[in-house]
Amino acid sequence: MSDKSRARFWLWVAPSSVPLTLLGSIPVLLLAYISLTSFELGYAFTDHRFVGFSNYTRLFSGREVEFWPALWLSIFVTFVSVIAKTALGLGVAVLLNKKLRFEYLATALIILPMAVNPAIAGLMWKLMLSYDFGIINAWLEELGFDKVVWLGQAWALMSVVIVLVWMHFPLSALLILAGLRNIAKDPQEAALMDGCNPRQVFWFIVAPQLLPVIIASSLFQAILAFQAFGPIFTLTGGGPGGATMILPLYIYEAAFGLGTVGLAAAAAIILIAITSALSAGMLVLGGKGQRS
Amino acid sequence: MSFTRRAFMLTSALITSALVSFPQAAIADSEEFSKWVDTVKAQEGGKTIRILGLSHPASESMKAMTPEFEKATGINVEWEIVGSGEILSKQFLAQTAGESSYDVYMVKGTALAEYDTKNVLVELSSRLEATNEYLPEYDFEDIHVAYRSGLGEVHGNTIAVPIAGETFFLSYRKDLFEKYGKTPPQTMDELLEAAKFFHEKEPGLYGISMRAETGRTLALTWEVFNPAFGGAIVDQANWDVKTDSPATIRSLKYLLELLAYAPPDIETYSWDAAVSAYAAGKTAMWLDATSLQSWLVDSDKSKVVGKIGYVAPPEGPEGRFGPVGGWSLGLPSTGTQADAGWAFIVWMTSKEKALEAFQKGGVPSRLSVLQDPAFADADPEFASALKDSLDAAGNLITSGRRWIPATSESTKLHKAAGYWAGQALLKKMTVEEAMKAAIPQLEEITAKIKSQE
Repeated sequence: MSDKSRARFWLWVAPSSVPLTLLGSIPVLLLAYISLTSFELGYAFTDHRFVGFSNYTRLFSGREVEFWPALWLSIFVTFVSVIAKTALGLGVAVLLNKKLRFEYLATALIILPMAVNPAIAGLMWKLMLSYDFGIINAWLEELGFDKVVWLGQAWALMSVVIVLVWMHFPLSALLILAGLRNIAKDPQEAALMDGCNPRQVFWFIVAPQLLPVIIASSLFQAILAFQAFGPIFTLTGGGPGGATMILPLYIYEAAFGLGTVGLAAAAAIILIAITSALSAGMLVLGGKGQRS
Repeated sequence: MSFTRRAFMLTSALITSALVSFPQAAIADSEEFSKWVDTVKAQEGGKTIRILGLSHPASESMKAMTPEFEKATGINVEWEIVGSGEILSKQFLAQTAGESSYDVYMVKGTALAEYDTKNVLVELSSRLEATNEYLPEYDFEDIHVAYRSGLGEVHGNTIAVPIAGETFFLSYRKDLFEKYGKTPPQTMDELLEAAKFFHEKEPGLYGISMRAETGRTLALTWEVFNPAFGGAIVDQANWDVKTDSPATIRSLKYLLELLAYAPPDIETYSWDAAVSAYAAGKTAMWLDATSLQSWLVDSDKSKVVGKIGYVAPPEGPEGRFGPVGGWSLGLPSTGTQADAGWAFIVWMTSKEKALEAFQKGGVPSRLSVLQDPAFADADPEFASALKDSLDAAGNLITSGRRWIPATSESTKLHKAAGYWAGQALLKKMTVEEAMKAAIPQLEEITAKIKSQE
């Protein structure tokens, strides 16, 4: 590209790319700066002191007793929920790909959880999972089972995973369905004619071609799970006893519960670093998928 | 302004005598009040003020009275209601941002020290003085001394006017206690025995409910019990950490034993879940804020209307104590319509409107209401229990401590203590282990408090 062409290229790209870059980077840079200060909620911003990396030191040293458990819990919730969401999404996508009679109605119903506001979804599930007043325990009792303390220590984490899977699996289902419909039918029909059964066709012909879509969907789901806040905030608030205190909730509590905004900003930068790494992974895999 | 045990006893005696002899007084706007309203209308009419409040019987009552205020003063009112967990952070965020769109705040009375340190509220002494001069019937001194001091003053300066003073008491199911020949608990031992007795006595019935959500909420409940056992999270006189003292450990053990007779998901119970469980008839007793009583006697919200009685918080080995908490009204330091906002505060907290506010579901904070036959006749047992509970609250204050320590670090203290107490509640640690583990975190916070003094 000549210098003149390059200049023209940047001239055309600048009106959209410059505002987008600024919109994305300025808050992160400001957050990074706040993470190096003692800034507390309720005081004027000018009142803060520069404290270097002491907020990070405090987090990593374990002096903030809830930080490491929150980080590991986030990783655990992400890992478990991504596997569940992908498996469920794959199953639903395969079913929808079979040209069901009520295909459009089924698709609309499956998408429904995605349309619910996350905080409202959390409240809705909180009511459904209530020990004494919830419909799920009422059903369990009708069926002759004991009631479960869904939001108590033993089951709260499982309840959070269930809600996240319920909210996000439709995205996996739609992405995988799109992938399934892009796979050529001819090799599958040829394999069937050559004596393969449908299961063999799926595992040896469809699944390998679907793999890039599944990986991309999983990474996307991992980012969603790692950033999840609304439904867990209203469902458990991170409790009981920190049993569901994932990193975004820890950040919220540090910033708005205790007012330690500098510390919360440091934890937020760590969260951004992890999700950025996941995004980069998605871009790399996406690029590989496109080339293949 | 400080107050003494004598002041408490005096007001309690006044309430007691009022229950039997206070004459019925007609409540109507006086000429003086009407004149004040006309002045407000002339000066502030046509303005629109925004109130940041929370979901609470007091705000419901104020909202019911708002049309009358708007009509009389010409000031338009816009309400913004948020959850009790969000209001403080929203106000502090507005302060940091210099947000000027709010003209009146509902102020968390137990966080006054933090409001004060962060300069969130305007000092009100001069406004109160001027109002008392122009409108003597406003009678600020008529607001109960415990509330004026506990929910309005910091370092002798008034920064908020109490609108919903509350303390804790015990409500019990009279029908169940009568059915099984039990008497309402007067001591901590009797409370534990009653909770144990009623737990699963009937299908779906638990012994007791209270707010016990792990974290700060649990710490606040624990601090209701601590004084009765001689325990404390920190010594408020010198800010030494006391979680490993035998008395503190004893009180936490007692609380956890009591919570064993609560609903199985008690570790998730905030105040609303606790009152809902009791109102739904799921528990035989409920220990919580007096201000929530109006919901228990509202047949739209409660299944136990007509079946409940009340007593003061039970007595422990060291005596009978109760907390003072609740909500006030204040002017944000970033507000731009302080005069109109102040008119709203005066109207809603005035002696003129106090009985009307109570009748519309509000929480009585004024002696004139607490002494009014209309209040006592409405529920004599409630009035009597409230008097005894205020005595218990007075015992705490005269012992030199507050339910919420008067420091801007109190939230951090209770968050940390509640986290570790929660580990014991969830049986992840023994009480002794949890209390020992809490010390370094608490000492770091108290070191900051000590350095500020």
